[in-house]
Amino acid sequence: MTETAIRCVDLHKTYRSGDVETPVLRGLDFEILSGELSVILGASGAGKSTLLNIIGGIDRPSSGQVWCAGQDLATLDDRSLTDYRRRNVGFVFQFYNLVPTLTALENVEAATQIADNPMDPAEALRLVELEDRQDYFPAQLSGGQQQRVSIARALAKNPLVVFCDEPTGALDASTGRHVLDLLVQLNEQTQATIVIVTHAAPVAQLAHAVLHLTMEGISTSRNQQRARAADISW
Amino acid sequence: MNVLQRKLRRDFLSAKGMLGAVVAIVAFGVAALVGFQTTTNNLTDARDAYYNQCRMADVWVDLKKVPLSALPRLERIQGIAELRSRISQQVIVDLKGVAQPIAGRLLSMPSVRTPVINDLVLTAGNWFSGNGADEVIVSQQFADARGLKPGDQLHLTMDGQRKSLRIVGLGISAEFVYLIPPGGILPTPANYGVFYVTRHFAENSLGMNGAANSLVARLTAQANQAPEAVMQQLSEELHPYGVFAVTPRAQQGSNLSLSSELGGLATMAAMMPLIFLSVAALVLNVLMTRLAAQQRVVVGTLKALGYDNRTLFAHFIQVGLLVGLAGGLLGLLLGYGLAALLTDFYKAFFTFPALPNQLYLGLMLVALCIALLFSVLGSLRGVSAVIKLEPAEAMRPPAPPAGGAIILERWPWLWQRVGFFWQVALRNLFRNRVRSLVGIIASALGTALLVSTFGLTDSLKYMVQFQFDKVMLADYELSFRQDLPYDALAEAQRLPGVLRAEPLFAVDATFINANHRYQGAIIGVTPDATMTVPNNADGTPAVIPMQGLLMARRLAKQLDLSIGDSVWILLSKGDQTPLQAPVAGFVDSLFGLAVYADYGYLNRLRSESGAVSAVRLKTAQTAAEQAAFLAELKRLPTLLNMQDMAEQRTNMWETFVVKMGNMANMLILFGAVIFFGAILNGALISLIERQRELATYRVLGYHNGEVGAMYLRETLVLNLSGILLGLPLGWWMLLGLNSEYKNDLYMMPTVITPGGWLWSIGLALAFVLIAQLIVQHRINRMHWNEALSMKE
Ligand SMILES: Nc1ncnc2c1ncn2[C@@H]1O[C@H](COP(=O)(O)OP(=O)(O)O)[C@@H](O)[C@H]1O
Ligand SMILES: [Mg+2]
Repeated sequence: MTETAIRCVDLHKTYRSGDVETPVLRGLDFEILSGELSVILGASGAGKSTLLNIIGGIDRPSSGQVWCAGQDLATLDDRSLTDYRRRNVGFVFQFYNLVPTLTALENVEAATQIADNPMDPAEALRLVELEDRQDYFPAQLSGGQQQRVSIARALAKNPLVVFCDEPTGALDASTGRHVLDLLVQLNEQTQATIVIVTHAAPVAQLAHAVLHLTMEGISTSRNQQRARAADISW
Repeated sequence: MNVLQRKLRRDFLSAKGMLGAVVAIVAFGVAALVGFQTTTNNLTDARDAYYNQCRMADVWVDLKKVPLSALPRLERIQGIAELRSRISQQVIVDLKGVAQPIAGRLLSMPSVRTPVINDLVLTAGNWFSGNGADEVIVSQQFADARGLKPGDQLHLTMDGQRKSLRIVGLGISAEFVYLIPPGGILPTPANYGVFYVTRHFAENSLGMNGAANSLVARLTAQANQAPEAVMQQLSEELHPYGVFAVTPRAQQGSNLSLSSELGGLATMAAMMPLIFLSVAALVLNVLMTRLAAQQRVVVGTLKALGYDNRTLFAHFIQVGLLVGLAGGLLGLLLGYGLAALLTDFYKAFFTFPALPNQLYLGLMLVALCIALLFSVLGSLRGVSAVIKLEPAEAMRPPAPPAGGAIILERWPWLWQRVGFFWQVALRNLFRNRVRSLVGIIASALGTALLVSTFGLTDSLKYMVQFQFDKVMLADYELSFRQDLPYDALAEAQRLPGVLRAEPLFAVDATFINANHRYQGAIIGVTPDATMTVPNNADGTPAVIPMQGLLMARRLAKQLDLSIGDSVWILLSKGDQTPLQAPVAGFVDSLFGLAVYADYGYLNRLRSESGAVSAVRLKTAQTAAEQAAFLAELKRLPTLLNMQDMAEQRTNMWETFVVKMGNMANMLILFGAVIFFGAILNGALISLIERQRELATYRVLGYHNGEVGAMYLRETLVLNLSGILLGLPLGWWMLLGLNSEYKNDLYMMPTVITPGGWLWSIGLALAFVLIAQLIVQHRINRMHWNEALSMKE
């Protein structure tokens, strides 16, 4: 349980557009442990998505190191980063990002088709309790169902880490609770490392570890007592 | 309106690659219209001016010999405005430093220059001095090709006598815009010339004092509506003087060739713009639907603010008009350039005093309007879709793409078999039905353009090969001024280096069946002939019947004859009593409308035996033998014409394959524009629409190449279907084009070799792949991670 899934050293990210420089991440040092459910908590605009994108291999830091699966992502070229995502990472986004022309099952298949050691896509849908919706297209599913498909898609490739960026951001409270509950359960069942990014403080109560992201930096705290999804509200 | 304007401008700019593609397609359509039509107009104008300048005849009469005293009566025929008699004779030209005898035509002109029918345009030198004894004006094409100029000497063998003549001038005439030797189909400027001498000189040297053998007439405007009546009367009045042929202007060789070329051009001027502008409208339809969808929120807001539909409509339709205007203007420029190229191209075939590339403003205006019309039509659907929205509906994001199974999924055994990625591709194609259809149509038309272009070259090559490798297998053909006895064959056989000589007996004849008639010739061929082999289109030799005629299939159709029918024949020379002969078989004939008969049979028909009007020779000559052979021919008093088949073949090949090759390359460029424009457009639009989807695949760990491959699958399905449809379409287009060029001189067979098909498919695929490379490049450069967190 104490193995490190991700470790960042002196991580910086500055956006440049023309002459304007926007420093967003200023020297972050932290670790995320394997098999845990971690929450990155911060105000809107704090740089949570930026950070998640960097450790998820979608974006690159301006400087510093990002260790995951034995490699420093900061040093990888585009091709290797793609391979990193392909093998190690599952993503869940605020707006689901399902492919509208594919059925629920096929959306999961889109991930398993290229994974090394995937689950059976139908099995992944069963994990999110959507086995009876596998032939539905995204447009025929509710927001919560779509988000569950996207969770199934993230889990189906058996990744090292699942990153969720505001997974409940587009959902109403009760659907959101259901999705969070699912993530907690899946973390327990499959021992998948899950990182949830949110600006909603109550969500942090579900996590093993909470990473507080502010303009100043990042600090980690651990929850002695984790709340149940059903009991929180935001 | 400001907001809309700004947003529209921004979206317009962001779609500039796609709009550029549509503009290019419109431009090429307009260019084709302006280019081909301007060329047609250039040629027509030059022709009309030239015909006026030379007072081009309406009717030609060739006959044996008519005394001038018989002419006044003819001039009184109702409908004849003016008549001119002249002397025409086939001659042999002997040029210093040129080994072979060259065929030519002698024509008489008045000694003092007066504007006569079929007048000359002097291009260099002067008219005859005085009675013009020993003076000649030479057709300019021949003089140019042989480096002759006023002051030079040349020798003409006319009626067996050798005459030395001094060139006083060079000239051209409207009756020889397309100057080809008898029996030929292409100009051979170095090997055929027209030689104008004074009437006085012609009469004296040809024993035609007070007589003529060629009449040219101009008809009254009214008689010209239907010249048949006048022609009929002329031929009856002149019957005692041995009429060979009465030819109206429409059938006159030079004019006929020019007309059929103009017909072909007109077809191109209609077909090409139609193809291009239709594709442009279709592609624009897709693009505008997309562009309009991007504006829906703004439109909804504006509507809520109280803007009326008319204002909005006018605003959106601007985009279409702008595309039409840009493409149209660009097309006008391109088209004018294209016309310059084409017009120049025709200078190699047609001779005019001047053939300038003119600016036809009316045509350009019409072309521009057509471009605007097609662009507006193409924009209508997209624009009206947004205009129709209720404000509240417009302000909501568009309904998500409909889910649901596509039709192919009803056959699970097939659907399961194609695999995940092909399923994805097929889904996308079926979801965007209109767009996919546009893609398929564009690709089919692009392919058809390629197929017909390659097919055109193939057909021309085939025509040459058919004639020279199958039908006409001699090395030389010698024709004689009059029919010779059979001994001539043995004499020809004795010429240096001759392996084998075969006789031909050709008789000019008019074929008549009911009210159909045709002036042609019957060629008598011996049963053992090896150098004259009438062939069928499938390459099998046709057997010449011992009795009756073997007739060109097209002629039989023209005369409405079936096998077994009898046809009336009026022989031009000798006995003029009509004869009857059965049609015993048909043969495919590409050059001319040939009629073959057995040599003995035709002789008996003419009450001759062993008459020889031409011989065909197979030779194996050393250089010295060839020189001796040609020298002897030059001295042969009976020689009317000598044709060197190898030279003819080369000339034809160069003209068709080399010159037409340039034309073909240009058409291939047109095909490329359709392909590129349409494929790129489709792909780029879907790239933009599916940014988020692409980003999703990238985040899932798909490499750029794998994402590109998803596009490639869709592109391939569309274009392979398009290509498959385009192949027969191209064949059909070529067939239509070739039938435009069909006339009595020759028929364009429609032939596409395996190479032609392969090149078409190969090029089409190459265009598809190049377009794919551009798409892939875009995918590689895309900032996809930004699309991920976009609100839907
Ligand atoms: N591509 C970019 N270019 C410039 N600035 C950016 C870009 N992406 C994000 N930012 C800025 O970085 C900061 C952090 O953004 P983000 O990571 O999305 O915050 P969060 O997810 O915590 O709300 C914001 O101020 C945002 O404006
Ligand atoms: Mg964020």
